[in-house]
Amino acid sequence: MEALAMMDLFSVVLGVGVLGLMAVYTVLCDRI
Amino acid sequence: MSFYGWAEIAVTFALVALVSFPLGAYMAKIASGEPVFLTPILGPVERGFYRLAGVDPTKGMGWRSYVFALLMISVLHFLLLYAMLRLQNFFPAFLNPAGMGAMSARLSFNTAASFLTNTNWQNYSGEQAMAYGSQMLGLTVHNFISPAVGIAAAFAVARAFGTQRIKEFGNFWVDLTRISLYLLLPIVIVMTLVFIACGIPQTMANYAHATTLEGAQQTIALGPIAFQEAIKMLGTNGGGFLNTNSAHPFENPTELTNLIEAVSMVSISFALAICFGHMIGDKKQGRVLFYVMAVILGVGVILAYVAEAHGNPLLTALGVDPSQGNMEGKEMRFGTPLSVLFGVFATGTSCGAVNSMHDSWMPLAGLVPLFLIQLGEVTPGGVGSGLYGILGYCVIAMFVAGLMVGRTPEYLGKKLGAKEVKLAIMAFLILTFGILAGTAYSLVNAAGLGSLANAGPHGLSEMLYAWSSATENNGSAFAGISGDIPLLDYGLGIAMLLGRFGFWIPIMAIAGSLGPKVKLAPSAGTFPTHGLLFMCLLTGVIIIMGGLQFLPALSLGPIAEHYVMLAGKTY
Repeated sequence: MEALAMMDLFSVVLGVGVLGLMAVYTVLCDRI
Repeated sequence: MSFYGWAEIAVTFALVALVSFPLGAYMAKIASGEPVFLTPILGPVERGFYRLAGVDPTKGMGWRSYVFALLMISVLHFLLLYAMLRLQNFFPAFLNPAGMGAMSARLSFNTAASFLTNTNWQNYSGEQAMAYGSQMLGLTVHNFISPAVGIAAAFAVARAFGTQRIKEFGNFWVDLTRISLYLLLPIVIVMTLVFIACGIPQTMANYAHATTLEGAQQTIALGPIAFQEAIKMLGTNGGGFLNTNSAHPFENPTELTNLIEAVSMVSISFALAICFGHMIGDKKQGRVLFYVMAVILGVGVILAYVAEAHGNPLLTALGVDPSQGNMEGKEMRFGTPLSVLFGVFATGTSCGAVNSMHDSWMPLAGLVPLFLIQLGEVTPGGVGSGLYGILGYCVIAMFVAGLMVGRTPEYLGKKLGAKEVKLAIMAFLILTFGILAGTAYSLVNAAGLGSLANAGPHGLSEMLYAWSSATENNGSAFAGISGDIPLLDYGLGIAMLLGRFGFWIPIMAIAGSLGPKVKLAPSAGTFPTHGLLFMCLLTGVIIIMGGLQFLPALSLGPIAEHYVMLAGKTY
């Protein structure tokens, strides 16, 4: 159960993290 | 090859042309906010949505606000779909009559990223893993939203190219609502009714059970398929309700449904080129993009059909009749021409639906869909992403032309500076990185190699195809690969997100940079972008960029396999 929760946390953080990085990437694109 | 085969291909292309031009004009009205013939019926619904969401439809957005709105809705939808897949075992019985269990965490990540990005890569088998509720409320909803988001993004980019000195590129929420209400929903309702009449099931009843003549028990998967099938094709989504996708008789039972599916999967993308011409007030510019897309796609169909129609020489040598072409992995009701046409259409767009197994195509025929995907999905590409992708190529083409004649490049009267060219190159390099780095890593990794069903160049093609399909948001599978392993669930999921947003954001930044610029009147020194010369230049840039980047990998995969096969060795 604990391993399952860790996998969920990892998957959610990964997905939201990549999309969050895209926000940073947007700012970088603006500054090129 | 047969006369009927060529005739079927020609008729399909003619129908696409017939549909695309009026549809493009209609979409331009949707983009401009003008009333359309459905406004008297759906106008109150549209305004109701704005009131409900607190959106002021008259308020424009800058390019950064537009991007952040899209990212915000993407985070929300990713989380919702992920949660739905993880918790589908708690659905009430009518939404899960077959009693599907929860999807695993890593597969839910892959599936959520896949449907969010209009990729629809499927590491699961729909009839064995997905509850009706997840199909209808999760996947089908995303099949509407992801193409609507793509078209909205293309509208925003088109406004920047075509309008004099603008800082606002439309309202994302308005575009999303109008595209869904006035374009996707009405067409899908009509298509669904036709599909049901043609025999595609639309039911909430549980799977049917039958006893075969041999006395064995057989389970026949059913479900609300027709509605999902319609938006699957129209929105260039491609994710099948059933595992074998449009090869299954419940998704694509007849030649008529095959024709409707083929035409519908490319029509909006082609129509967007025409729509672009209307939006910028110069229809010739839109037609040029349409012709470039059509020529590359048409050549792709011809090459693949010729390669498939001669059959497999190794089988011919064993006495197999080659008159029907290479029929391995194909449905008898479609034959070689309609299978090839469907496969090339599905990879020239970002649809990814299949009615035959691309893994079983002849090596050089299999190269065609792979190459079309790698070109960046611009022939005609995904709904929306095809248009803003080819506009990225236009920036590079005009930069090349400027270098050749020693003038500052401009496109549609807007001067292109170093910033726009850098951003365009960056957008395409992200795709190259995702495909080549992902493939290379997977092929030196034991887990990656273990997922392949074949060795040698064919195995390389299988892995290259998987990463190309994911990064370019196509979603079709070459087959021959077991994708549900941690490396590919997470790796391909990240590639899909990078391919979608990592490509679109620099293109939006180009829009943000070009929008406020003055639109110059054409002069004697302006390179005309509505004629044959520009068409040749743009086609050359698309092919050479694709070729230069991927030719070494393609040489090691399908091209090597072709010559090895002629020497009598298969994998």
